[in-house]
Amino acid sequence: MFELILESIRVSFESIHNNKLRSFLTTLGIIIGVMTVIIVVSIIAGLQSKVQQVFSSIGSNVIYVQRHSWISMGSRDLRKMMRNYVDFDDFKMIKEMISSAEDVGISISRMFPIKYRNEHLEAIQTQGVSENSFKINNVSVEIGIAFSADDIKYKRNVCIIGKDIQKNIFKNENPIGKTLTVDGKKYLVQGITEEKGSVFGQSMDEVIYIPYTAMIKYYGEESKRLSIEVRSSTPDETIEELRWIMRLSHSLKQNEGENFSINTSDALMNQWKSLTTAIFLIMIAIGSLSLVVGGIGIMNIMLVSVSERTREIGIRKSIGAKDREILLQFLFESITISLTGGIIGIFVGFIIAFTISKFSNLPFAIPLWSVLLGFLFSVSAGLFFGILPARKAAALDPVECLRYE
Amino acid sequence: MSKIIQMTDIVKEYPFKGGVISALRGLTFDIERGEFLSIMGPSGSGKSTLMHIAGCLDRPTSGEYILDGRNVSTHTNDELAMLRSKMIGFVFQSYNLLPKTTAIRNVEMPMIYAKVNRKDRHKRAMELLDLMGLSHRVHHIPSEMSGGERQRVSIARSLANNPDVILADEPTGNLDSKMSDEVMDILKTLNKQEKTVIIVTHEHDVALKTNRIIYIKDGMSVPNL
Repeated sequence: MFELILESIRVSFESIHNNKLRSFLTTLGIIIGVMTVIIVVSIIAGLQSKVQQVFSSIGSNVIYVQRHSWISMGSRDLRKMMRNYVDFDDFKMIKEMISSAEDVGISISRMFPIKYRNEHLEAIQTQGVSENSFKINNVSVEIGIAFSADDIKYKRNVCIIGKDIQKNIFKNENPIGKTLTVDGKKYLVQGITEEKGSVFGQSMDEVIYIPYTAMIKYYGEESKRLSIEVRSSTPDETIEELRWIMRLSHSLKQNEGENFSINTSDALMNQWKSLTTAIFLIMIAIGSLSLVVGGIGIMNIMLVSVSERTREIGIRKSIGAKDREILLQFLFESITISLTGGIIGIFVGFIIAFTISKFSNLPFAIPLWSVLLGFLFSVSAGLFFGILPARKAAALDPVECLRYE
Repeated sequence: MSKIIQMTDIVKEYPFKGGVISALRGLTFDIERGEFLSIMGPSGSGKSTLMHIAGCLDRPTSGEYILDGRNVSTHTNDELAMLRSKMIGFVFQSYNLLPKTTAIRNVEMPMIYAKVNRKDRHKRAMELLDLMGLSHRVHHIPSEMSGGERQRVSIARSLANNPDVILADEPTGNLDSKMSDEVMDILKTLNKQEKTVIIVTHEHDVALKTNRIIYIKDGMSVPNL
C-alpha cells in the first residue's frame, strides 16, 4: 500500500516534469487561491497585532462616558445629532455616586492655535484634563512633572506637551519652564509626555494638556467634546452603575432610550474583530472560489492524462493492478499536483506578505492555521476533483486499453 | 499430468451496431500443466480474444473456463486481477513496457502490485534481468534498448511473481529472425523449468518450435491437420 503511494507520487512527479508548462497552468488556480488566503490572513494578522497594541495603550479597564459611541452603527440620525452633551453635571454626579470605580477623570478636547516666540501652529489638539487623567489613560510624563491636585484646584496656567510640539515649536531648546501661548493665553510648560508614535499615519504626540479647570476659567463649562474617564477593575459592574447614574443625571424615564454612550476599548476591539472576521470570511470565500476553479482545472488535466495513458493503465492491469489500485494511483497524482500548487502558493504568499509588511511598517505575522488551511484546501481540492478522473481510469476495460494506440 | 487450463464451449460476443459479433463460438480444449504449445490462426480468427480470456483480462460470454481448478468465468474484477498477478505472466508483441521507466522498475512493477517488500523485489528483479542477460541494461529505459532487449525485459517482468502460465501474444512479431530465435529459446528454457508456455502466433515456423499446436479459425478450433 505504502509502495503504491510512493509509486503514484513518483509517477505524478514524472508527469509534472514531462509537462512543465501544462502542470504549472493547471496548478495556477490552486497557487493563486492559497496565495490569496495566506497574504490576506497575514495582512489582517499584522493589522490586528498593531491595533491590539494601540488599544492596549488605551487600557482595557477604562470606561469612557461620552456623547457618541465610538462604534457608529448605521447612519447618524437626527435624534443622535440633537442629543444632549455629556456635561460637567454628569461628571460631578458620577464622581459623587460611583462606588465600583477606582478613579474618575475628565477630559475636554478643543483645537487651539499655539505660539512660542516666532514659532506658531494652527489648530493643535488641546486637552483639558483632571489630575488623574494621565494615570487613567496610561500616559506617562517623560521629562518634568505631571499635574498635581493643586494645579487643577487652583486653575493654574500650566501645560504638558507632546513630543511633536517639543520638536516643532521648541526645536533644540529645553521647553521646561518656558511660556507657551495657547489661543492667546500664556501657559508654563512643566512636562513632556513619552512618545506614543502614530496610528494609521495620525500622530498621537501632537497634543497639549492643560488643567480642565483652566479651560473652564477661559471658556466656561463648554462641554462639546467632553469625555468622562472611569477606571475600574470590575468594568461590567461599573458600566451598569454608570448607565444607571447617567439615566438619573439625564432624567430619563423608564421607556426612554439612552442619550449618551458608554465606550470601552473592549467593545472597540470586539467591533474590530467582527470587522476582520468578516474580511477573513470574504477572503476565504474568494480563496475557495479560485480553488474550485483550480480544482476544475486539475480535473480537466487528469481526464486528459487518463486518456493519454490508457495503454499504461492496460499494462498495469495486465500485470496484476486491481481497479482500486489504479484509482488510488490517479487520486494520488491529482493530490500531488494540487498539493504542489498549494505549497508553491504558501511559499509565494509568504514572500509577498513579507514584502508588504516591510513596506507598510506593519508587523509580519503568518498564523500557522492559515498555512494549515492552505494545505488542507489544496489536498481536498485534489482529492475532490481527482475522484472523477480516477474512477474513470479504474473502470477502464484492460482489453480495450491494451488495444488503444 | 494435471490439467491447468480447461475450456468448455467458450463463447465471446461483442455488441456491434445493435447486433452482436461472435469472436469465439464454442471453443473447447484442455492444456496440461507444463505444456509448451502454440495457438495458431489467421488474423480475425479470435486468437487474441482467446488469449485475453485465458489471461483473465476478459470473461467469456458463456462457457466454462477452469484455470488451475478454479472456475474463473464468474470471478470478480479483483479476483481476476489477483490471478493475473499470481498465476499468469504476459509477453506482448509490442512489449508493453512502461515508457520512461527503467528496466528494473518495469520488472519490479508486478511485485509492487503483489505487495512484495522492497528488498526482495529488488533482489528478484536483478536476478531475472541477469537471467535474461540484461545486467548491463538495469537502469535503461525502454527507448534506450533494442527490440530483443525490450522483449527480454518483458519476459523478465512476466516471471516476476513466478507464475504458472506464460502467455505470449506474438512474442516475436516485432523481432528479426536472430532475436526471434533467442526469444523462443528463452521461452523453451522456461518450459523446461516447469512453466506452462502458451504462444499465440500466426507464424508457422514459430508454432512448429512448440510441442503442440491448436488451430483456430472463425472462433472455433480446427482438428489437427
